[in-house]
Amino acid sequence: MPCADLLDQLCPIEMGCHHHRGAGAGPGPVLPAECLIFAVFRADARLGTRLTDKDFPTSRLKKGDLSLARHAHTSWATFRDYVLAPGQRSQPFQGIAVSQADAIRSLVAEITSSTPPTLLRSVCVLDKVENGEHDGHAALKFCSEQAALPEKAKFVVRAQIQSELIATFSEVRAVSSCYAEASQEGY
Amino acid sequence: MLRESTGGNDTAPPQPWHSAVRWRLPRRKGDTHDMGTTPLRRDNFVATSVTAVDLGGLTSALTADSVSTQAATLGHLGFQTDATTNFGASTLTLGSSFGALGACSNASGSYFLTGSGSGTAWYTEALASAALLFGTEGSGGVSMAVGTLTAGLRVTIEESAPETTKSILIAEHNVNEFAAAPTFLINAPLPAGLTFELLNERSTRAIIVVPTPLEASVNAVRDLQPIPTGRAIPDRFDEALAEVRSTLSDEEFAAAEHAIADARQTMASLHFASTPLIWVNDEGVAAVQWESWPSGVLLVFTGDGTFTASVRDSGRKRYINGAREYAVSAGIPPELSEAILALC
Repeated sequence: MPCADLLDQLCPIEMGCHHHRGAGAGPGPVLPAECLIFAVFRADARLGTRLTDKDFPTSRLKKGDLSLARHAHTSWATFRDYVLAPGQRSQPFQGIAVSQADAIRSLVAEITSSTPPTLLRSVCVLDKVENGEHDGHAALKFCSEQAALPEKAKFVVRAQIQSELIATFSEVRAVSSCYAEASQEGY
Repeated sequence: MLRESTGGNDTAPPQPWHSAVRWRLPRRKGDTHDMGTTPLRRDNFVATSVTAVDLGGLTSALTADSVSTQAATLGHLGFQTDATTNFGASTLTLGSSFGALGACSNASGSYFLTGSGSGTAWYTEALASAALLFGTEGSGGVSMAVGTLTAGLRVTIEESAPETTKSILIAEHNVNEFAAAPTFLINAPLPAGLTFELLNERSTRAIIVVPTPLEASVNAVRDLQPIPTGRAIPDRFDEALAEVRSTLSDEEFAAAEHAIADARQTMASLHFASTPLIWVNDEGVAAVQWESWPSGVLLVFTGDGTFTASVRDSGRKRYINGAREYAVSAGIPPELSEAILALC
């Protein structure tokens, strides 16, 4: 069944294990209702700033390397130590942006350049954990079904997906909106 | 003259984002407009540390008749972003019979503006006073509401992203209403029908306010000539490309240059000015985007002489649905132009 037909449900790829320690490690597939946190490290962002395409580079989405934290499986201490600390070494941390797994999965792209138009899921939400990452790590990846598209259609739909991801995650908000204890530590 | 200050206070809790702030001036006495539904965020303001600037020159520039009896409170200009101090009755002194100019966003994320200075979260038509509000959100523009003013202020917005310089003249209307318009809307049919956008805070460089004597006629507004502009939209493509240059291969860079050339040509076919988001992604694809959340229009250019347009709405339609391809040489079709104009 095409991913697009699954609507906001998990596709077979998402159902699989993407944890470096193998099946059974970590919390497992990202469930539809899970809250996903995107940490914003960008010098020109502020609270309330809309995210931009720079936050969702296609290079990372193609590799399935767009990192998110699964709120239900990431404590504040883990978020601070595994997300904020390494990220802040290169760029200032400005806040977080939040969405829900099913909202991301339900972004179904309509490819109008084909006849008849085809529907493809935009991105998959994977429980991807590589060595050195915390168990609550997740990643966004362009849906592999897009591979069959002509090159131009890929370029166009990726830019459109970037715009929709920006709309879905919306704006930079305070980390304390997800982790109340963060404010006690000056975040 | 007021120059933008930098830096913002980011400690406020996040507030709902509303980017579709457009409204019309009161059409007749007694009209009120619910501006409270479009709260501004205090961290979105252009001038964040200027707390009060007295437009001292305004008083003398006005005629005796127009100054009326409230010269002491005339022409105060306030920018207030403090979380603990409300705008209106305190920082921005709105004369009971005269004008004030200010930007504000209080701690709760809403703004207010009244002619009487009584501090309500709603804009109330102020028959005996005037106020001008600057607010910023993501989608660009200038907002203002004017009650009654018997002289003018010319407000010039310099944007540096780069952008145009916009001039706004507040003028008297002959039925206790006021017309105010960015110059690019000067040819709009009627002052009462003009709309105002919010200023793009990311690109605002300066706000300059100059008292300006006015003819007491609507035509005085309509006859204004635009102030010479600064850098125009095409320059923003160059900046967008420069931002991603290091991430592009030579092939992608070449494609991006073609895409930008197409985007420039397409933008030139628009018959009105606007301030879209312009970006070039890490594949060398150029995009031009008008947004008034949650609606928007997205044009994607890959450099092959075509562009793909998609429209987002408040319903189920997303940028990833229902896209249509157009030839760059044909320009922006009327239906798309209308959709864009509705967002401006």
